[in-house]
Amino acid sequence: MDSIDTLLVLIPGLPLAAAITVGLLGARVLKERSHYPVIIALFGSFICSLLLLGEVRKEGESVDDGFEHVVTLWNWADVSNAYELTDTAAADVGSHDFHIDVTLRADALTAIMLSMVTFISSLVAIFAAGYMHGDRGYWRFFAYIGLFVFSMTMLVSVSNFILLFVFWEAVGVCSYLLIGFWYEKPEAAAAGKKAFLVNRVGDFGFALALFLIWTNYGTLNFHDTLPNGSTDPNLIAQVAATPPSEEAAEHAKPAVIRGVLGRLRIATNDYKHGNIALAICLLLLLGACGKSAQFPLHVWLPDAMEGPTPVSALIHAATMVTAGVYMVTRCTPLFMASPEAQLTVACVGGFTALLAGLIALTQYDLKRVLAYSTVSQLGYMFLALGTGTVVGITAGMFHLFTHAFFKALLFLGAGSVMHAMGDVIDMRRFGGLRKLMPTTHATFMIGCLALAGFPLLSGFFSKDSIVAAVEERVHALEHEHERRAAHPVNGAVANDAQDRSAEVEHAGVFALWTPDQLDTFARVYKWLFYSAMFTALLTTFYTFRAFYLTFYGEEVIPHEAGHHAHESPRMMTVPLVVLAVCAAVVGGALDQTWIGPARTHQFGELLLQTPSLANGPAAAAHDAFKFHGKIAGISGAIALGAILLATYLYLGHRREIELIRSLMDFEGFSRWLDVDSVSRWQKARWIAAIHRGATAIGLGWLTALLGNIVLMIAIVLSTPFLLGHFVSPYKLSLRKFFIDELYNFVIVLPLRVFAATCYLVDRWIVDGLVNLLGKLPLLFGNLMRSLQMGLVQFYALAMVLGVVVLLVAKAVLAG
Amino acid sequence: MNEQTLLLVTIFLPLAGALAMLQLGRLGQQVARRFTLLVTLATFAAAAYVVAKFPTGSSAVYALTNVPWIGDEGSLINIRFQVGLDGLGVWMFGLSAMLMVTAVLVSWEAIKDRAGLFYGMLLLLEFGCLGVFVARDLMLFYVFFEFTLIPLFFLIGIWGSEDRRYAAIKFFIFTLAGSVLTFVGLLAIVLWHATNVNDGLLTFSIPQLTADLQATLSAGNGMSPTLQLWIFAALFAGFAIKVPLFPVHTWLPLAHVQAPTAGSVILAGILLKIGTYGFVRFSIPMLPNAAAIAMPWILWLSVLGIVYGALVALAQTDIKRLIAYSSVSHLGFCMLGLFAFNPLGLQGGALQMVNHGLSTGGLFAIVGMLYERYHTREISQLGGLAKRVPWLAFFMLLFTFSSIGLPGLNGFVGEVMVLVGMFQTAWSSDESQFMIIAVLAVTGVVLGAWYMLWLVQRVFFGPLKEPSHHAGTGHAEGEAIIDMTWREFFALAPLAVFVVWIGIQPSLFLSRMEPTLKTVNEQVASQVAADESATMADRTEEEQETSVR
Repeated sequence: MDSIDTLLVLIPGLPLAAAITVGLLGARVLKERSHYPVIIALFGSFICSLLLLGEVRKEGESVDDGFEHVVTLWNWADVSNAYELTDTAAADVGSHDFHIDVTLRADALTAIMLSMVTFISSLVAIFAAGYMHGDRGYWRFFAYIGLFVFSMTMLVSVSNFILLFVFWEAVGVCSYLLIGFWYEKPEAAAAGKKAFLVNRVGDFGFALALFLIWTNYGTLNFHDTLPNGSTDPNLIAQVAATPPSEEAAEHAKPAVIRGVLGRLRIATNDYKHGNIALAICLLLLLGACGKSAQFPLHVWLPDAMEGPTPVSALIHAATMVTAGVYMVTRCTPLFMASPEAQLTVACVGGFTALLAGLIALTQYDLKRVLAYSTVSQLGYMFLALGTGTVVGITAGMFHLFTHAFFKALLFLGAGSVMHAMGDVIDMRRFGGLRKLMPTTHATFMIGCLALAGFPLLSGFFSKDSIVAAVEERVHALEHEHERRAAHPVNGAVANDAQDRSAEVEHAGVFALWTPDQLDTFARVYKWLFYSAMFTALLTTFYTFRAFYLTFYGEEVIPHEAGHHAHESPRMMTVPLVVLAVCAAVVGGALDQTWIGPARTHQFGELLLQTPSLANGPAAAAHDAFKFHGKIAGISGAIALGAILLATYLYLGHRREIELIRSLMDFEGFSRWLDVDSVSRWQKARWIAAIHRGATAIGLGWLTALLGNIVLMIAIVLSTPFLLGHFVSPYKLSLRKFFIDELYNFVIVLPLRVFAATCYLVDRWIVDGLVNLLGKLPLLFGNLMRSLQMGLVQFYALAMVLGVVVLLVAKAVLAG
Repeated sequence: MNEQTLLLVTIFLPLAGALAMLQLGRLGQQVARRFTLLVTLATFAAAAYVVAKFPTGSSAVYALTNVPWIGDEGSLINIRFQVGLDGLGVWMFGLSAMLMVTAVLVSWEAIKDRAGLFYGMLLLLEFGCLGVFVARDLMLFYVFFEFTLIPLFFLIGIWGSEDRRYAAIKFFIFTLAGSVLTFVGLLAIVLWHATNVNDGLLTFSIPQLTADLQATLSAGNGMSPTLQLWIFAALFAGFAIKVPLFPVHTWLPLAHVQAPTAGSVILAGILLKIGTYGFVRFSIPMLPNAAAIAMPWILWLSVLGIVYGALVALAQTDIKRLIAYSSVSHLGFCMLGLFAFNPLGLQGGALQMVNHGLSTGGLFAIVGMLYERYHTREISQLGGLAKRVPWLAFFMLLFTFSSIGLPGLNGFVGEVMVLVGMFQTAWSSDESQFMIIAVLAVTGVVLGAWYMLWLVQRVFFGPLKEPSHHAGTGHAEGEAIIDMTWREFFALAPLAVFVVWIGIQPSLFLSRMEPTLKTVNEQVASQVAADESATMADRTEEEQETSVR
């Protein structure tokens, strides 16, 4: 056990130490060598994470209800008897301390996240050493990276909601600092602020969720503790087994503080249901939406691409943005208590995936295409979590894991392109780079194929299992609905108690659902299933669009690249190759169900050793991981089809795609109903001739009238098409559905106008009123002017005399 | 030296320094500033020692000195020189001593005119500030209270900017008017106590008054709620202006903008807290029933201040005024916590007093440093300064993060405790207004991040923009601007250390406040509970009567 403690501290400790070292020595001593401490520390963290993963796996196999181990470092805050819980489960009733320790936890979920984060960040740091070479803020960059990895590893390993929130915001700050790394660029500074503020809106929800958890559960710890803060599992088991004594009556403290995600609570599934559960989950979801860039808070992520590209790869694709997914997975038991919340998660995810996929179709900035693709893939993960089944949650986490590799690969590939192109990222300004940058081309292609879900690459397995999980969910709901329709008594209150309990047993997770709910939910999940399939098509298409625009066609190199456009140095290509290998094999290696029924889902089995997933209603309903041949076939076909389509449209002359674009932009229509062109008819020779002829016989007014009527009709008819000029499908996608503009006009501008109004009110009205109040004594004072002679001593004397008179009077009266 | 003596030394050293300055001041700026730095440093060292020795886990007054001053035990008037530290005052006491060093360092070059007088005033101000937080006697408290007023009046009136006269007079009239009413209220408490408890003898001892008022209330022959409300209103007048609560905050932006940097630092860092301190020291424990009645009103005023202050800050074009309005917003958080009437809120509010002193004190100091370089505070005239003054930008960012409640720094701890406390109150109450207040307060956190980060973005990021002429420097463009000097570094570094320290290990600071604040909380809670059960009992009695009939 001790080795776990050490590892847990070392994993975040090493990057922090490196960050401090570089922060202190970077500017003067290390300078161009600033990357050494950070790379060494990150690699050390990675080794530690692997060791931790091994330990956790070994320990986990011997326990049924999941393995967790908690280390307490120091006490953060302790306010005794801060809150008295009354209206809740009997085991929690009593007075609760606001006792927050700095605790780290080791369990399967944490160990998986840690390994992924430290691995990707090591590679990105190596890449960045090449990419950032010669930058003025070289040391600053690596100090921030160290700080970020520290915060991110802490975020996934803390065992307390308050500290989760602490590091939740800490990664946000690192992101803020790194987006605005080139702060001289106004766009970068603005993007940093935007990212922070949008995240703050999410954190607003997260904070409210924390308050609700605190007032409902009386603790903010994930794990169980004794009132004195001890986390020793043996001791807790011992105390929990002892029946409560008589004196531990109403106002005493509970013997064991059952953590929100602790084993004791999960074992009895003692969670709040109904509106409270829904509120907690939706508020948590709002926080997750902020960090993981889900609709409606997705607007910051594309702008965040102003930061250096390695940062985009590390923070805004592979690690930080997955924090929301991690958090929802971590809080699975809370979400299990509210099916409505699960559905909301799924809908938010499914809708975001679709929306971002549509936007990505038309973007010309290579990094923005990838950013929208990230938003879209995160949407997939949320969709998977929203199914509320073990298969779904595993699929979501699995997609998070594989996505980290291929998306980091794609971003680093884009970085390599940028590096060669003199920081130009607009795909219209370069092209045909495959011969110039062969390694980047090859690795980027593997990344694209993996993202597209090309059979047997890692994206194929994870995305496939998400779609399969949604489909499975639909089936389960429909099945239950039909079963109830066949046995109507089941839905209503059963007469026979035994019958009822048998019923509950059979229905499992659906025990509390009404038939209507089942029906509606089944339909919604079905729509989400179709939408996910369609989004898969979009994903493949936009990925290959970007790929062909960048690497195929005529070779174009912008002038910023100068004459030295070349493949990136080895320091940058080696991480690309490593990531490409991982992106190719990691999916198939960890999910081996495709080989045959004898093989298991390695990743899933490991993840299920997490206490909050190993027990509880979700785990009870789960039997084994299966490979879904049918879904895999369909999605493989979709991927291949979309790749072929993209190849047909973008390889070669790209004439067809121009046609599609103009169609989608309503170009043809608007020309026919353009008011100008209609009024131009007047000048057309044959019309003019008729008009002249009519004028000659005195009927000029008639033709003029007819002409005007036609013009009127044209104006009326063209209005929708003029509108279509702005909101054609193409423009909607290109302008990101105008969501930024909408926010500006609906929230930002009104608030600023309101703020300015407040200031005017403050300046003239509030201050004026207060001044007026101040003038009253002056009026009164005029009456008393006779007493005023300007001698301070006199006033003092008067005051003292007054007091003395009062006192004497009082004393006399009292006596 | 034992702790009593050391505490006395800490208080009187600045006074002695101020008196010495009467002579030394003539020797010019150099002597004056060096001597003042020496005095403030010595005071800080002594204060730090006392604070470090302050015990945890005890609500007794530490380092208590209690000698007769005017009259004595048994005489008609018994005003005592009674000073000591308790959990409520201890951190503010330490903070005052620390901020004074910062105040001297930021005035180092800025004050050339009549420097001796300036530093004398500063030392006198320090005497007042330290005294306020240790006084255990009403009269003594009031004396120190007034001692903070007059030096600051002169600091603003003589060394302020263009509009200094108006600002100084407005500041003076506002606070004086308030404090006179407060004084009347305090006297009323003393008189009521003398008449009803103390056989006509006037005692001014705060612990005794608190204890006796509590005891009479528990015994059922305490001050009537109506009288309590009147006195509460009188005290409120002074303290609310000092805090300042909406809508009597309008003197604050004016005073801040006109005050010299040192004045702003002290005003924001310490003097505003005298208002909140007064509420916890007097209003809440001495008049618990009135406090309970006034609670929703005060909570509304606080949350209005939070949102309104933030919105108005958003509309500012002057850096200093922006930060001044942010103070209105932050002090709203303080008051919200204090009047949430539970241990979390109370401790959070008290911690937030210190936090705001650190972060806003630091921010005002930085604004002063920028002003010395560019002679402007207009946001629109500055831009991209991170390139020119990277270290100043670093500290600006740190204090900004602290101010917007970034986790890991001090502001977060206070904010989260205040909000959780407020939320508890809302959750356990049947009235929905408290929930509205709690949620509105959380939106203040979002707005706070907005105006502060926008400020940083405009002033420190983006392309470099400096005023075309640095008025009066006579240097070519950009040449005169240097990054932080060591003097400026040492003005800010101590604040930065505590900003981080409180954020990482707040339990160290909270555990020293907890016992005192717990007593305060229990006092209110017991009275409020008694009130409720009394009304319940009344109701049941009435019901019984009706049923009998």
